[in-house]
Amino acid sequence: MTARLWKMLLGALAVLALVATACGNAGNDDEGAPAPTAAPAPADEPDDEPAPAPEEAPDDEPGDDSAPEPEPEPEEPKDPEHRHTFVPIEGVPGVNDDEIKVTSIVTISNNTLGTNIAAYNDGIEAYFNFINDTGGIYGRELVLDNKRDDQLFQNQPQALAMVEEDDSLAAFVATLLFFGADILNDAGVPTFGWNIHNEFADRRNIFGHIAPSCIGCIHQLFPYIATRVGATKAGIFGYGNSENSKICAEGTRDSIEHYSAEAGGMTVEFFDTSIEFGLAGGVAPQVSEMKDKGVDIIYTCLDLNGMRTIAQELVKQDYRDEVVMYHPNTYNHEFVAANADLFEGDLVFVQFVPFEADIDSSLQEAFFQYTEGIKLEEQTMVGWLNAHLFYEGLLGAGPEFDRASLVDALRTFDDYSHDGLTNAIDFSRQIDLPNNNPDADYEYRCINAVKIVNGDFEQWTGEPGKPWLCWETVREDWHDPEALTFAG
Amino acid sequence: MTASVLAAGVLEDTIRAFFQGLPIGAGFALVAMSFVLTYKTSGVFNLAFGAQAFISAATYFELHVRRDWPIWSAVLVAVVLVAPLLGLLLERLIFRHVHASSAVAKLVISLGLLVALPELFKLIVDYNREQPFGAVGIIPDGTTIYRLFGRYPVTRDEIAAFVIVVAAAVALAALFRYTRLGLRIRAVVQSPRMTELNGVNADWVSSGSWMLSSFFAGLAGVLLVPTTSSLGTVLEPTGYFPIVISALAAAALGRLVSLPAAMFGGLLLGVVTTQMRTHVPRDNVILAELQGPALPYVMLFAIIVFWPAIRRQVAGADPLLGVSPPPPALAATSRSKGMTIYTRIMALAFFTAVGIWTFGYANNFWISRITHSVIFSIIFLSIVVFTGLGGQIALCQVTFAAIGAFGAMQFAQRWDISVIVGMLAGAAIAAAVGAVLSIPVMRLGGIWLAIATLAFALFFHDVLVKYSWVGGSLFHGRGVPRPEFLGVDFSSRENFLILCVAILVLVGVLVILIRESSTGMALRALRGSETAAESIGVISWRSRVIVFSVSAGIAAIGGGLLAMEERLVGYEANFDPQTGLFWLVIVVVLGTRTVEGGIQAGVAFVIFPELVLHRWLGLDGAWRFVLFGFAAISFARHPEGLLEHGKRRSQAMMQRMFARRQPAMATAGAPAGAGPTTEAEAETGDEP
Repeated sequence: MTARLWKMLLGALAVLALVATACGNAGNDDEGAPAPTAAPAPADEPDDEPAPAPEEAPDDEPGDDSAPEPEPEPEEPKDPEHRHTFVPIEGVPGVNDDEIKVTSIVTISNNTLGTNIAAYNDGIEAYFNFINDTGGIYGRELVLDNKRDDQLFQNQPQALAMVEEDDSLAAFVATLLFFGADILNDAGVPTFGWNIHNEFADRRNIFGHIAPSCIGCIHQLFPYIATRVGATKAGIFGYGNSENSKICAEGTRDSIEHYSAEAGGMTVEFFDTSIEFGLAGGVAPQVSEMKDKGVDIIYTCLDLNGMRTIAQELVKQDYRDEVVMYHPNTYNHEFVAANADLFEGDLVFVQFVPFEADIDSSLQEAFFQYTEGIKLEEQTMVGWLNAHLFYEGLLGAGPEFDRASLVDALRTFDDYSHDGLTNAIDFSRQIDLPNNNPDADYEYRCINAVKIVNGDFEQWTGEPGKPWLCWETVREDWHDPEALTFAG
Repeated sequence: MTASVLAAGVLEDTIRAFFQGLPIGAGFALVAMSFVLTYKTSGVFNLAFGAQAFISAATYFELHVRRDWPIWSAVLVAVVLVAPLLGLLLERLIFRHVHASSAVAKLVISLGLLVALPELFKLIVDYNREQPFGAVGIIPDGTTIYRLFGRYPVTRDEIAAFVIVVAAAVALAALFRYTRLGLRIRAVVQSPRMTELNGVNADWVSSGSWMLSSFFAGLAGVLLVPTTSSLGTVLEPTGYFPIVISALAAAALGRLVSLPAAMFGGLLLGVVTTQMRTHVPRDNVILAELQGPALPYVMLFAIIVFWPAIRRQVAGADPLLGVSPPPPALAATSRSKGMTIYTRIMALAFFTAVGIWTFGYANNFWISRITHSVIFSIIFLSIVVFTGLGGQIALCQVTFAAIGAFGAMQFAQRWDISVIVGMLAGAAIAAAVGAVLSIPVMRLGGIWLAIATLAFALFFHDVLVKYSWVGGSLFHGRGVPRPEFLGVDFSSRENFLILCVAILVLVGVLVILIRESSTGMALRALRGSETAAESIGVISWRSRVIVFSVSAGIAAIGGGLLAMEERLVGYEANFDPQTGLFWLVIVVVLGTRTVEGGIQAGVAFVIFPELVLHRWLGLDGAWRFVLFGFAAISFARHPEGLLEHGKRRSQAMMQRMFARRQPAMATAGAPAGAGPTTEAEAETGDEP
């Protein structure tokens, strides 16, 4: 490069640097994004002004011919009076006189995890069939109109396209990462999703099937499990190339060490957060070390690929029967049935009341009726729960709903448990991550877990009718959990 | 007593780790040997190996798991029929026609195939109709456990893999050393024409070689399924990538030509892995990394850079191998004045129309897509600099782009400093990293340079990104604001697009300046012959360091802008090393030597799948990988890129038309051998 060119380049860089230092960052008030969140004040409409004449949806209106005709006749949801009140609505995206349309953005192709995320759509459609078969809502049917494929991490352009097309009332999201969160939130789109991301936190228009949860926090759950199964020496695994997995593993370790004395002198004998995703190098040396140290319970923050690899190695080293594994992501019936010998006696965490639990929930009964013939996956239930939350929000918003009133209604739900299928959520305050704002935590920290027996699951936590095991969040002292139900 | 007990314990641990490492090593060895076999029998450094392995495994999965075929018949079809047939097709349709091309050209083609083949297979068999869940191995009761010496456990699957590896190594070594066929295969790789003079049908030998190597790829594909966790759960092509990269280190030990060395390299890699995990403590961050994600990449990089055999191979290569004729002049330099004016008017009209539509009619989605295409144009100009000007292949541009994105994020989040400053700081860091990286790898050149840079990209991806000082904190997110600049608020999409266009113009001018500068001329000379260039005073290391660091800096600027456009660092969506492979493919397909080529690649990368494939043709987005992947084949014939090639053809055609209209002028005014028929025409004259 010539000296002249160097001078020109350096000069240009210097000018750029000077200018850049004199500049700042713009705020986040985006462009032409629609106004966010806050509901238009309904009080603008005078109380004495007659509302548009409500129309009862005709009882004999034929339903969707393509909808399944389940047997027996489903029990109708407990209806508020206005459920079937029809009010003409204009200018609300995705809403016409016949339908309320929503869009889903789901990781369908290129999914490298064992979790079948695409089943999320099945859950939504099953729930919509349930509602439509019992008369719909506000004289309209619920329709999953557009199923967008995230194609693994491409949800931001999909979210933007959805916002621009402006023909859906709400978005349903189940993706491995959620880069489109701000676009949907800023556009005021009520969004319902599989909450495994921090992006669900601190965004008023975004709702998960569970609330944002404390990641890596100290929790009595981990030592408690050990005391139940009679284990005292823990081994812990996390992926070395995932910060989420590492923090989760560190939280498990810290919890055990914090409550060590109360948990019978429990110790962490083995801790490894260096393993690589895919485990091409196996875990034989790690299992040997655990065996040498007498580890009798293994906690992980891995996907089910990793769990299988560890279990295979435990079997190889003739050590499987002497150790219990606690699985965070293995509630997958097909996978467990196919690997029955590997996982016998293990415990599996479930984010909702498992299919196997005995609980008085009409929502769960309807779920089984409307998913008959569908391969049940964890994601089927997550989609169902999200669709139910959407429906309940619509009921709360009233027959003259729009996006903002839907969100506002949802944010008034302060004791919401999807008819007992999840831990009770206070959507009015559980918006932020509890790590950043302790007031945003659950009132109770609860777990639901199943035990693997002969390739199937059996409820392990709680007692009949009360499947949850819960600790009061405000109490940090070691105390026995309480069996609870959030149904009814 | 205590010391002896301790020593016995260590010895026992070491022996145990040895036996634990052998099965892992067998998997690496199988892949490494398949690599070597392909290279030995075709001269192709076949990065598409993973794709071939996937196709056989997925065919087996499709037949046995989804359609309940018996194991033997599914194996017969997937491994014995499909795999060799795929090899035959690749040889007949592609590699036969690029035999004389450079190793880099073949590498680019294999990258294209790596991208295209799995997607084409998936589209053909509708593979994604349901999740490819629950793949199984081909050995009946493969999980049955045996105990070596009564104490070291090993499964039937692992024994089978080990036996096949050893048997294959012996058989193939014997084939090449002791048989006439082996001799002919080697001879055909080196000189098919000379071999034919001896009455050997070089075509059939070459086809047979590809079928054999493809058979081994297919065999490796199905054998790896039960021993690799991720493949056994969800069978996706990405599952093969880490194994292939790890195995590359083993193949490198044998300089890609020695089958026994590849076998021992693979086994050694497995044993070293388990020994480190047994003996090295995990409570130190660096040591823990070296046992886990970092190990294969560090080993690969170290072997390539420090292994004496590779250094000797690079230094001892045929001196004429590095002597290439200078690339032909760009079409734009040889066209007539009238044509230049016409082209510029058309370009101006086009961009004016696009501008009017964008700022007058386009919605936010399309403005975002156009902004993305401008930003990717900037990133792709870094490939123009490195590959187009420098004549080398680097597979870590995506990492430099990520450094720019994280730089913008870190400066804005930690110190509330302008993202523009952060982006420039990221560019400076990337340039510095590029300069440092260039020092050990610059003398490698060709495929070794490409693989070393890929190892660096994967190291960044699997090791560094998770640290908060690089990739940010989980609890603060990866948000990136848009800038204010000279009092202008660029938070709106329209304003930000204008900023991106301005930066694209600046970067484009910079690239042209470099191309026309003494550095650009030095790079052209180095492309022709490094020795000759140095003999006339070109300082090769300086030119290479400059081009590496400038290229890295440009990529980082693009990465920073991308983060601002998306308002976050979408690392997994944009900066995965496998994504970077596709970047390279699309740029080399369209044109690496011109700014125009980089811009067209940026537009094609973003707009083409959305507008043409999705909206106009209603096709799956995966078709872009298929189309551009296969288009990479054209690189061997048209290293200047399809667009530059098309320009030459159309230019030559126009000039012929012009010549026919004015025959008198053409014949009377021009001296013999000259005239409007220029280099461009000569370039296209040999077209079929």
